[in-house]
Amino acid sequence: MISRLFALVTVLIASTAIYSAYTQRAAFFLRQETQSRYWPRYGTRLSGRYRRGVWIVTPSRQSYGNQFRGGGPRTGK
Amino acid sequence: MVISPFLQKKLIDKRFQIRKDESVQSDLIRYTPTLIGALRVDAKARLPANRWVTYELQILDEGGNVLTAGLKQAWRDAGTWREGGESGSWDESDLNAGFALKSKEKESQAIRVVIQVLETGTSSNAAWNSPVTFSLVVHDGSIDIRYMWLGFFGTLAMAIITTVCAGQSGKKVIAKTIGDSDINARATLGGNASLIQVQIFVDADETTPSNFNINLAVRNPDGETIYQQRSAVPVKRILDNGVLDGGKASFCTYLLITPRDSYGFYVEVTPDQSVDRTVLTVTDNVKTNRAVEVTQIKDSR
Repeated sequence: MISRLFALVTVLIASTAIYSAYTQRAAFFLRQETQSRYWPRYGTRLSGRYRRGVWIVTPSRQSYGNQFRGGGPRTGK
Repeated sequence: MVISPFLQKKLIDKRFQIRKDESVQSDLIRYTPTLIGALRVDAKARLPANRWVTYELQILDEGGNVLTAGLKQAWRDAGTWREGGESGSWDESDLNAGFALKSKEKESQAIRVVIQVLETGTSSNAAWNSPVTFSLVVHDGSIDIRYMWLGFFGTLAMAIITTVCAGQSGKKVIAKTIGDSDINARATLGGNASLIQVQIFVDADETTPSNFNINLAVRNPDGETIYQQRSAVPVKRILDNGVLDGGKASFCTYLLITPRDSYGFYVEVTPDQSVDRTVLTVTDNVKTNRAVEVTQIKDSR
């Protein structure tokens, strides 16, 4: 009985994975104000958002100053 | 996962050299929204060791308006390590940025990709003003392989859980030990959907032969023998400094007995002089991971 439950769960996992991958539901939908299922690739941070159909950059991007001091394990506080 | 790279269409694959506060535009790309797949834009900053760059990957439409943009702080650090007499080199980096783009609108549209370098520097925060090399690759018809990885590990976990659970399945209806070579027990078990596993373990002393004959008989509630099986099982020798000290033998068989009722299991091990202990285990309603040979016994009383 429990092995039937496990089989059902496995089929659900597999079909959800295939559906999500093929329809790319985590992609960025152009010109959509709300991105409900966006999953950023490679840690790329969005630098703005849509407001009434226009892309507005975030304040931190506008005043781009010397915030980033380099990454990696050797630097930092 | 394996086929998807072959079904994609590479639209752009170029390298650019970009200086700080400069940007570079790609050619116009014709994007037709589809239900399956998305347009994948991937950029990689090809940095030398111990440098970093903050860059923005922008997607513009035909008229030059920004459709979306993303920031990436990319870096590459390298060095050597020494620990306890050993040494080596290391090289860590985080260079990639990218988007997967889709559209709810159905019409085909033209888009352009721009990479703009915002800041550059070295890891010790000295100024660095050389141009940075970027590679830009745009694919059409790509799938999101991260979900495939999730699915792979999810189903792998389920497979492991299921395998472990199969080993623990079934109800142990007989578990009897005797310090002799003849053992028998009776229990209610069977049915046409209930696989029965019979296991017999024999411990022998130092006069053990190399094979034991195990005689298994199954009797129905009236006492008639409805099944009998004789098998020779090899003995695994236990050695103590090269001298034979004892032996172990085991036997396993699967039965399907109908109808479900009270059945007796009678075991005889011969030759019996060297048998120290015999264990009989009968498990009802087991599940196995692999296909096994099953003997079907029909009690026609």
